[in-house]
Amino acid sequence: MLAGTTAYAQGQQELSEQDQAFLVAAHQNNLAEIASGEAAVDQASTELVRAQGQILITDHTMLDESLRQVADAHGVQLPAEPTAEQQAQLADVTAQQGAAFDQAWTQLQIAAHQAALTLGEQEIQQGTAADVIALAEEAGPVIQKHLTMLQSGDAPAPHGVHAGMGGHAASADGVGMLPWVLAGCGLVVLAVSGAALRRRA
Amino acid sequence: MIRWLTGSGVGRAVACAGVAAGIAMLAAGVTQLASPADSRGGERIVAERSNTDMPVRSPSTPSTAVPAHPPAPAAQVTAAAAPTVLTMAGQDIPLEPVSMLPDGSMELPAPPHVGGWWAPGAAPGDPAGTVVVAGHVDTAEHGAGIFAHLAGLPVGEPISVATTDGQVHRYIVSDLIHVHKDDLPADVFSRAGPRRLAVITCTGPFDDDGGGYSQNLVVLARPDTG
Repeated sequence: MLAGTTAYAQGQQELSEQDQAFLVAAHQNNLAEIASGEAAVDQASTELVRAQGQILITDHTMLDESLRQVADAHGVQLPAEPTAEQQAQLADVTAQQGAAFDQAWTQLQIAAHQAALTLGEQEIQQGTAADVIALAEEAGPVIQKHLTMLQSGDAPAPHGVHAGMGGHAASADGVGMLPWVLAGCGLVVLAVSGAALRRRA
Repeated sequence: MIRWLTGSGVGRAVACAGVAAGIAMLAAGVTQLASPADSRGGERIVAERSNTDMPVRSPSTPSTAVPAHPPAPAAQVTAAAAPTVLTMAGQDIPLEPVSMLPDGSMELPAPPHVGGWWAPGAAPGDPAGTVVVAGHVDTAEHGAGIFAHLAGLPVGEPISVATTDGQVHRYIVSDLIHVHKDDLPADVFSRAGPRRLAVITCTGPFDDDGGGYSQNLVVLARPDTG
């Protein structure tokens, strides 16, 4: 069966109410988290909170890309913005400054992530379409990682350290030709000279 | 030619020299093949310690790396004082605070002679957590970076970190770890856990098509309580 045919067949299949509701709510959660992350990057009073905000942007952007592909495949329309309640909650936080902002922001993120976890668990238990359930399963560990980070006040681990672009210190390509040339020439010289010395005059 | 070598006195002397030279070349070649750590990059790394001739940048000089977001208003870095200089193997390496890039990776100062201190994480004066400093092993534009010789640092080697409050924090190298870039342990960046220093650079196979090095080298150091 062609992949295109499968996708067409999937798209034509109408999603259950549970699956549709999950797609819409999870998408708005992602949008709300991205907006929250941007607020932290702009307003945080410590580098810790700023980095926490950045990881929310990075991770929820990635999760939302996966989600939008599945929604597109099923012809589900997604809202362009977070819910009015989510927007109002963030506005209350961004009205604050300094350490008060950091604290209010953290509390809001903890509550939002707990709600997102509950949403995902409900989809896993009650959803029907395999690809929608898979979204919830993919997002769960990421959201949990964020929640643990926020509750413990720890810094996020970056997704990598790219500390070198010159290529001069590469090791797996071996040691180059020089040692082989040295050893080879050494063998030849040794053989010729050794043979010469062993001959009687 | 062999008849000349065996026939004349001069020829025999040359043959003896040839044996000696052959043994020396063979030994040199075999030694380099046997211990690739010594020869790895040794022929190709641009002049050693060239960064000592470069003017030391003041830590307050803005980094030339440009994050995608506009610069944030001045923020408190941390409760404890920020690191300014890392000293190891006779080198003084200026440090700048860095944070997370939009792609989620750790920002690094663009100049290869400046190290980046992971500002969201622990500072040397904090009661817990890992102080993370990352630096270039090399760059395409400038050649060898400050951490070109990090892999050669022996266990037991001292490292010290000076902070803005005038303190000097001393550490002793305890471990060197090579990990695939995707497998960098999250607890290396944690503000919790035992006080320690982690110095990170790149290593391993290099992807010329833009992927860069595939591995990270992490040098761990414990506080010197002596």
